[in-house]
Amino acid sequence: MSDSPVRGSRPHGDLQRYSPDDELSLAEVVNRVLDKGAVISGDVVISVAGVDLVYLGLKVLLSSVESMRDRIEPGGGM
Amino acid sequence: MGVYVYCIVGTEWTPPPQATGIADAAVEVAAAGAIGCWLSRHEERPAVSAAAVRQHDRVVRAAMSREHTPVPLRFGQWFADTDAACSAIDADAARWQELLDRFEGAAEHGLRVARLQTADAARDVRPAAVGTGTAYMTALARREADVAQRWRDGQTVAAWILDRLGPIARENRMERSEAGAGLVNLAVLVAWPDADAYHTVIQGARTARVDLQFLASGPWPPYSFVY
Repeated sequence: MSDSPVRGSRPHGDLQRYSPDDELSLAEVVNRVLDKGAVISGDVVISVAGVDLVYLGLKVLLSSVESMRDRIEPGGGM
Repeated sequence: MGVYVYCIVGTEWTPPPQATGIADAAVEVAAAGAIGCWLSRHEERPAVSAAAVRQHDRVVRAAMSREHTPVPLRFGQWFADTDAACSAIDADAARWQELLDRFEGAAEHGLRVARLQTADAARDVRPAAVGTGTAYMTALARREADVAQRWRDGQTVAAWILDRLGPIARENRMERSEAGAGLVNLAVLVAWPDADAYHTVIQGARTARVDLQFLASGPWPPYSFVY
């Protein structure tokens, strides 16, 4: 997998001036790219080595909350 | 086979010639009505890795200039084909246009504020580090109190910084720092012409509060402002 800059990118002097690429820590990038940013559809699947590791889906989240509520309310505890 | 989408753009924003994304795939623009997006085609859904995350960010950055600010997407936006991606984008066209208008001519700047570590602050308050139940609960209470105090301090510092920034901060987002000495993480949306003034204010804050550490990053695509 390539880790090279976007080839042929337009010269963006301002971006380079304030933020040389090698000064961006991976943590800062990961924090934004994996945890922030807009989502087009309701689901985001992130896979590692072919295995779906993280599944962020509204339906799944709601399902999990409902399941948790069902488990708590009947007996008064989990 | 499918398409991976990096960012939402205006339809007239074309990727640079030879632009490549994750796994060296060519980056192309697709139009969804009046909204566009940058995407690349892959045999399989790209897996997360440090290289892929960095390349995702680089493609979004390539769409960014003083004139145009894309709407950055989160990693993992995957669709069966271009039509499916464009259809999903077009279904929310008003939202994307509103974000493009809001972000125009501006970029996100990150600021992490932390206490300078002292021997006292660095003491081990992890519950597991103590032996008796009383000591455990005391350490736990101390840790919780420290977390709460750090957040209160962080909010105070953030308000102080934002007051100094005034209208330079077009928008801001504040979040609790999870780091040991961290007080607050700030994201500030700053117009390009105000970038120098922003850094001057941050430098002034460093001088005024030598007890704190200010870690600045950016400019970023406005990842923190999409919601």
